[in-house]
Parts: sequence; structure tokens; C-alpha cells
Amino acid sequence: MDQPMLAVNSLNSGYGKFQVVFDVSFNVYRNEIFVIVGPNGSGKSTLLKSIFGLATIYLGSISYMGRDVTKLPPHVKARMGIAYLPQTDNVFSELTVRENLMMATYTLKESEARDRVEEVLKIYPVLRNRLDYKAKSLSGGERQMLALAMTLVRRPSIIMLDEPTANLAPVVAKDLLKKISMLRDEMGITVILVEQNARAALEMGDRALLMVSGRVAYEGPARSLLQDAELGRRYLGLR
Amino acid sequence: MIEGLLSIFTLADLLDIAVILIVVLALNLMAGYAGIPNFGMALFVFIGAFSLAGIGTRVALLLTSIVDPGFIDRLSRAHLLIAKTYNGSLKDILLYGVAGDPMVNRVAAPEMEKIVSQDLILSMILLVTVLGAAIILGALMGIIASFAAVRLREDYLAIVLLAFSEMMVMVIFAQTDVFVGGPNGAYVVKPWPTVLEDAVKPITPPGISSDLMIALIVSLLVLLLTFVYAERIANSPMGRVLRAMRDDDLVIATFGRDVPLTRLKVMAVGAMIASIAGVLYATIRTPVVASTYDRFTWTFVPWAMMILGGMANNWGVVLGAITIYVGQRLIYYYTPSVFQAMVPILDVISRLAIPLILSSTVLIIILLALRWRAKTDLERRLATYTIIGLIGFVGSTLILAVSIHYIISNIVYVQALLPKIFLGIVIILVLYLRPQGIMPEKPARTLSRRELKEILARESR
Amino acid sequence: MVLPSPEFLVYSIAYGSVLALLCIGLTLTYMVTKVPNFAHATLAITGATVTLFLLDRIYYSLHPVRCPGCTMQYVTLYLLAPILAFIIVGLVALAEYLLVLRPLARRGIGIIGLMIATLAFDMILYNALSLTLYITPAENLGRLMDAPLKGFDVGVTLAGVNTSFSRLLLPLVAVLLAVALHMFLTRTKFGVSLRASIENPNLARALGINVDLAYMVSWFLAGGLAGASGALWAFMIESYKPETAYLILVSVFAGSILGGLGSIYGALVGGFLIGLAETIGLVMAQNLLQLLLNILGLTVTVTITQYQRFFSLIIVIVVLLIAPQGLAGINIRGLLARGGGLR
Repeated sequence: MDQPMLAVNSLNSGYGKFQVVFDVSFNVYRNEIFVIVGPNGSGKSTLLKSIFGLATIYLGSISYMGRDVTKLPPHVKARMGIAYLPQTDNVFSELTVRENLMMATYTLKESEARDRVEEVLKIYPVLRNRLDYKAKSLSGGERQMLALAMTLVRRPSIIMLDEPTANLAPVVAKDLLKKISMLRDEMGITVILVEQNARAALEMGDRALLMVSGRVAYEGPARSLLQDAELGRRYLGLR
Repeated sequence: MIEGLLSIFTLADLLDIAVILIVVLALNLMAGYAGIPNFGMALFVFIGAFSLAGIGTRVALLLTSIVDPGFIDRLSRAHLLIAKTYNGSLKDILLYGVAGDPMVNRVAAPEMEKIVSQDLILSMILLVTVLGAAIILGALMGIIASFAAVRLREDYLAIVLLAFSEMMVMVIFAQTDVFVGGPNGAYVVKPWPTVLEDAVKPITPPGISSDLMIALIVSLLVLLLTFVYAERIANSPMGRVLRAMRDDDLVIATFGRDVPLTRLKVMAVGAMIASIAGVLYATIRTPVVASTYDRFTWTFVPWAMMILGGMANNWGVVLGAITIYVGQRLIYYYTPSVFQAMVPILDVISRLAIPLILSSTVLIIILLALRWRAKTDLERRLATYTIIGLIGFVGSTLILAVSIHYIISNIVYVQALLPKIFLGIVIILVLYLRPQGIMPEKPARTLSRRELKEILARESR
Repeated sequence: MVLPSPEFLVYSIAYGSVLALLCIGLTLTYMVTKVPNFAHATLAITGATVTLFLLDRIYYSLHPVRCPGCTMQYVTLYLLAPILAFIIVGLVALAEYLLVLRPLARRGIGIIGLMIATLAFDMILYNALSLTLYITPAENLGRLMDAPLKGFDVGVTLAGVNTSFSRLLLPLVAVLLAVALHMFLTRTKFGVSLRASIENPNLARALGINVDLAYMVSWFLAGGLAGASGALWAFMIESYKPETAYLILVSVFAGSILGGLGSIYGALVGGFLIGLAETIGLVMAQNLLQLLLNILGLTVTVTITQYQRFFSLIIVIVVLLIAPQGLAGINIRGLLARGGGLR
């Protein structure tokens, strides 16, 4: 395996004085789908937030493409190609789809912005029909798609998704996960996916991380974790 | 120097301070301890004044008419205007009479007072009625206000309470003649019997009316009682309940405390206390004009005093109130002399205006450059503040220099308005620099220090 | 008898326009800082002060009464005053945001503390304004405080209706500014970013939007609207007194709350409705009541016009207790289910 795209070393983080992540280390390689699973409260979301810079890091380091990015603020990381898609509040509900995409391309030149929006609308044609609708009137799945579109428009190299299928109907969730696979397959984007729905995520993932109570319980191929009866049963509700 | 300072303050001021202290202590109970953002204090104070001026005068009229049936006739014969107004029954007079017509009011009130104060029993009846009305109406207003607190969020609650207070005082009472004489106000019949006045005469300094003296003594007494009461509540289990309600009422509700009922009690008691303060204030500040019980004097200033002194700290708010009151008077008193003294300096400055502006512009450019090249956040912020400070300082000095002569010739207005401007600035600074106030909230000491020591000693054995 | 005269109707619409603009500004500042700005009415009166000074220094001698051929020149006052007031009051509002609210909010001061801060700023502005008016000598108007600005309005007779220039201008200005604001907020990238920053500042920041700048511009605009509206409102006030601000604040709050504190369009409608209700509504109600009493044979004269504030205040209380979302949030099912501004 070549050098990891993202390397997390002995990360200890939390919110303020409240520590949630304890000594977590893992690597994410280029062009793979890296899945993070675990029971509720195991620190998965906090882990993503810490990598992006939205939580307090006590100890440890994060390196991206060989560079140490531990102390960099979120907007700098964003400009480096790291995208973070939170679970909620990831679109502007009161703005239309068109306006949301306009905001996503805020820092780009007019012509560049138009091209990229076109690009993204080709990938998610559903949004084209909804351009002048307010984001809050979109269905759950459409909204997540919009959020994803807003991230893609900035051509990130790596996207971190925090439970994107939460609150979505199973059919819609499956469709969304398929679209997420496409990110790797057709756009060459590396994906870190935190998911509550362990089975579906592990089925599409390449490598996985199992987090329990803020610590790493497993790092390795996703398939193996899926087949591991012991861990699967105890922590993931898999039979 | 102290002599000079003290000479600014009269006994009437002492009454003002006592009254506002009572109000602030009541507010502290409601807002500081119980966390109810009461922006409608003005109403509670006014209700007391209303009890004296609106209800009290009518009761006094009733009493005098009983004791002296020919009172109204006598008055009408002596004052033709009254004859014109009254040709009717006692009912008419009670409903529309005394408070409505300022002329009538001004003449009738002292006459009634003479009659009522002679007789101890009549005075007592009047006093009890007025106080009773103040307490009952105050409690009623407080209870109504607490209903709003049940379902509203902080900021909406504050707006509603403010609106309620404005509506009652500024619109209904201030505009309608029937209640308290509308825009003209109503005179009061002071409920003090002559025996009290006689008792007080020996200790009354020359030039001070015995009315003021009595009101002062009563106010100080009420103040003392209020303070003791407030402290006892603060250091009691109820104090802890109030604080818990303020900090997280959901939690305390799950522990079985009836939150709406507790709120109701706090508002009722606080309003009663404020109402009594209103009665005391109104005995001296006559005529009682509803529009003078405005949200600035009786809502904002008490809040300012509470914040400066330290919310949920009774000693603190007392300190805050005295500081603000004294501070404002001092500013008022010394404004003329201070500005007068500035004249020569400012004349010099106005002649040096151009070089001053030029040199400060150069300084600002240098500071801007420094700011642009600043490495740390601290340096940048320092440069920004220095620039703002410099602009502010030079700008205001120049404005002063230009306008000083206009200021001097209009010094009366400056005197009146400068304390208020200062108060506004002080409050913003306090919120920025020390929002917990001069004396921050201290933990509830339901047990005395001695008891705590005993318990700790017992535990460690 | 019950219907208002056309003159009064024009007056009513003008007053409604004033309130509409003020309510938009108030709602805008509320959406940005989440705090109701108690100083907003004083911002409006600051705009009126601009008109006052312009009248005193420049336009006094150009008034048609003193200079019959100068009408065209005099009319430029109606343009200059709102524009100048827009800029000046916009800056004052910006100062309130930068010097008072933003630093305190960053310190973590809660809503109540921030409300007190706006009250404090109101006190400073109001009294500083009064002081300036007392101290500055008037060139022509005699006494700046109490100047009868109404008398300087230009009378206009349109379609048989005797009214004044300011009253005809106000609705036009209100519509113009409202439309301009709408265009700005929906058609320009910066305007959309303003809405985005107000709704979700974290997301906006993550996308590279300068949220701080957006907030500053919002406050400037809100102040500008207050100033422009106040500059023309000056002609409708009996005599200039900063006290008038004290009284109109209630109506502005009523309008914004009625419209729903989270909706600019609601504020526009709410403000206008309150303005109409306080003038026409009240007079019609009074006439109706009078009619009723006359029919019943009672010869009491009813004057309820002094109670105009009462209705605004009742509306504030009722709306906040029952439907705090105001007009913007009318949702019958939601109303019955939720029932109030629950914490």
C-alpha cells in the first residue's frame, strides 16, 4: 500500500473538557471508501469533527497527504480539498436549491461556478427539477443529495460524511449509498463514511473502523468485519 | 470636601434612594433570584401610587362626607369651579369627581387631608385602605404578569411584560381621566394622622416638612424590612428553589416543585413590595401623574442598578443603586463647574485644531500600518483599540472645543441629560467588563457558618 | 359617516408605510442578532433630525411661502433628506452593532443582557440627540426642539384630495425600498449570502462567506431604512420631539411581531396593517361605536383615538401568547398543537 491519504495518529479529542475520543489511530488510502461504524455514542461523529477541526484535540496528530494539519482551522482544510458533510444543518433551508448551489460556489469566478454547477446537476438530475424550490421543501433524500452536490461543486479530494442516511427511508438510503459509491468509482474521490446502518455501509466499503466507547475495536477490510460474527453481533446488531 | 458633597443631597433625595432601593430589592428577587425578566416594574410601582392617589382620595372623600356632611357644599361655596362641577350625588363625585378635575383636586385634597388627619381613627382607616389596596392590586398585577411567564421564552416574556406595563400605565392610566386624573394627575390625601406629625416634629430639621419626615422614616423602615426579608429568602431553601428555577426549570419541575406556582408567588410578593414603595413615593411627589412612572426611571434604571451591583446579591444591588443614584447626582451637580473649567483649555485646543488633526491623522496611518503588519491577534486588537480610542478622543475633544460656548449657554439641558447618557455608557461597559456586577452572586448559605463547621467537624470524625 | 375621508386615508397609508419600513428594519436586526433592538424607533427619529437640520440650514428660505418660484428646488428636500438620513442612520445602526451588540454577544452575554444593552444604547442616542437639539442654535426655525415640521410640508391637491407631498411620497418610497431590498436579497450573490449567513452562519463560513460583513451590511441597511422612513415621517409629526420615538416603538414592535419576527415580508405586511389599524381602524371603530351609542339613544361622545397604542400593545401580547410566529407562520394545525412560544 502506498502512503495513506489521511493518517490519524493517537488522536484524543472531545468537546471542551469532555473527552470522547481516546487514542484513535487509523489510515485512509486514496480512492477507497473507509467506513466508520459502532454503537451509539461511540464517538464516530466526534472523530470526524475532530479531523475537520470542529472539536477540541487534546493529543495526537492528523496528517493529510503527508502534511500535518492537526492545528489548521476548518476553512483552511476546506481549501485544501477536505470536505465535511455534517448530519444536519448541511443546507440552507430557506434558500432555493439554485441559491444553495450559488452559495456553494461563492468563492469561485462566475463562469467557473456555472460550469461546476452544471457538472453537478448532471450527476444529480433530480435537483434540476427542483432548482427554484426552497431547500426545506425537499424530501430527506433530495436534501442530502443537495448537500452532497454542494460539497462536490468544490471538487474535494476527500469527503467525510456523517450519517448521511439517517432519517431516510430504506429505499432512499440505498440510493444515496449507491450515489456515494459513485463518488469513488466515477470521480476518484476518497470517502470516509460514518454510518449507523452498519450492514449496508460495510457492504459497500473497502476498509472499516469499528469504534466502541471512543476507542478502536477493529481496523481492517470491511468484508472481514461484516463476517466477524463476534464483533458484528456484539456491537453492530448484525446476526 | 465631604461637607460640600453632602450638601448636594437633601432629605428628599434620601427618600428617593430609599424608595428606589426597595424597588431594586424587589426586582432582584424577581429577576436576580427567580430569573424572571421583569421589564414591567414601572407598573407595579405605579399601582402603589394609584392606590394612594386614585383610591385613597376617593376613600378620603367618602370619609370626610360621612364625618362632615356639608363638606362638599362648603367647598363649592368657597370655590365656584367646584360648584360648577358638582351638583350631583356622592356617587357621581366618587366616580368622576376627585381625580378628574385638577382644579378640584388641588383644592379639595388639602381640605380633606385636614379633616382626616385630625381624627386618628379616620387616618387609620385611610392608611389601612390605601396599603390594603396597594398590596392587593400589586399582588394582582404580579399574578397576571406571572401568567405570561408560564408559556413564554425569555425575550418574548420580557417584551410582553414591557408591553403590559406600558399599556396599563401609559395608555390606560395616563390617558383616562377617571383613574388618576389622566395627563393632569391627581393630588393625594396623605394618610398620616396629626399625632404622628406631632411625634415627628422634634426630630424634623428646620425647613423640612413633617410629611417628608414621616414618609422618610416609614420608607427607611420598609427598606430595612425588605432587605431582611430578601436576605432571608435568599439564604433559605426557597432561595435555592428560586435559583434552580432560574437556571433550569425543567430539572426542578421533575423534582416535584410547582414551577408556575413558585413564579406566581415571587411575582406577587415582588409586586406588592414595589407597590408599597410606590405609595411612599407618591406621598411626596404630588400630583401623581401617571406618565412620570415611565419605563426609563422605574424599569431601566432599577435594572441598571441591579446589573451594576450584582444580580442575586442583595448587598450588591444596594451598592449598585446607591452608586448610580449618587453618581448621577454628582454628575448633575458638577457639570456646570467642570465645563466652565474646560473653557480655557478648549479655547487653546480650538486654536491648535489644524495641527492636532494633522498629527492624529499621521498617528492613525502609522497605527494602521502597524496593524496590517501585526503578527499576533493581540497586536492587531491593540492597534484597533488604540485607533478607535484616538479617533474618539481627538474627535470628541474637537467637537467639545467647537461647541463649548453653546454648551455653557445651555448648561441646564446638559446638566439634565448628561447623567442619563453616562448611565447608558456605564451599563454597556459593565456588561462588557464585569457582567456579574460589583458583588457577584454568592452561594446560598442556608446553614450558618457555625453550623457548617459543626457538620464538617462531625463528618471528619 | 363611518368611512374615513380620503385625506385621512392618504394619511393612514403614509403612516402605514412609515411603520412598514421601520418593521422591516427591526425584523432584519432581530434576524441577525436574535435580539429585539429597543433603539430602533430612536434611529427613526434620528432620520427625522436630518430633515430638521436640512430645513433649518438650507431649505428654510426655499419654502414656497417665502419663495414662490422655488417649489422645484424645495422639492429636492424630499430626495436629499431620505438619502442623507439613510446613510447617516445606517452608520449609527452599524455603530450600535459594532460597538455594543457584537462585542457583548462575543462575550457570551445572554438575550436579556443584550436587550438591556439596546435599551442603554437607546438612552444614549435619545439623550445625545436631545442634547444636540438643545445646544445647537437654530438659524431659522426658532427652536429646534418643538419645531413645527408639519408646517414645512408642501401641500398638494390630487384628484380633489387635499393632502401633502410627504404623504404621497411615503408609500412610493416604501414600495421602492421594499422592492430594492427584495431584489438585493434574491438576485444578487451578496444579498443571497446575507440570507445564508443569517440562517446558518457556520455553514456559510464553511463555504467561504464573510458572515461578519454580511451582518454589518444587514445592520447598516436596517438603520438606513429607519433613517429614510424617519426623514419623511418628520413631516407627519406635530412638532419635533424625541419623545415621539418612545411612543412609536410600541407600534413598530407590534408590527414586527404581528408579521413574525423571522420574516421580512411579514414585517412589511404587519407594519402596514398596524399603521392602518391605528389610524383608520381606530377612527372607524370609534365612529361605529358612536353610531351604535346614538342608535341606543345615549348621547355620550366616544373618543378612543388616544388609545391607539392600547391596541398595538394588545396585539403584541395576544400574538406572543397565542401565535408567536405571527402572520408568517400561520399554520392552523400547528397553532392548535403547539399553542404558544414554548421554551
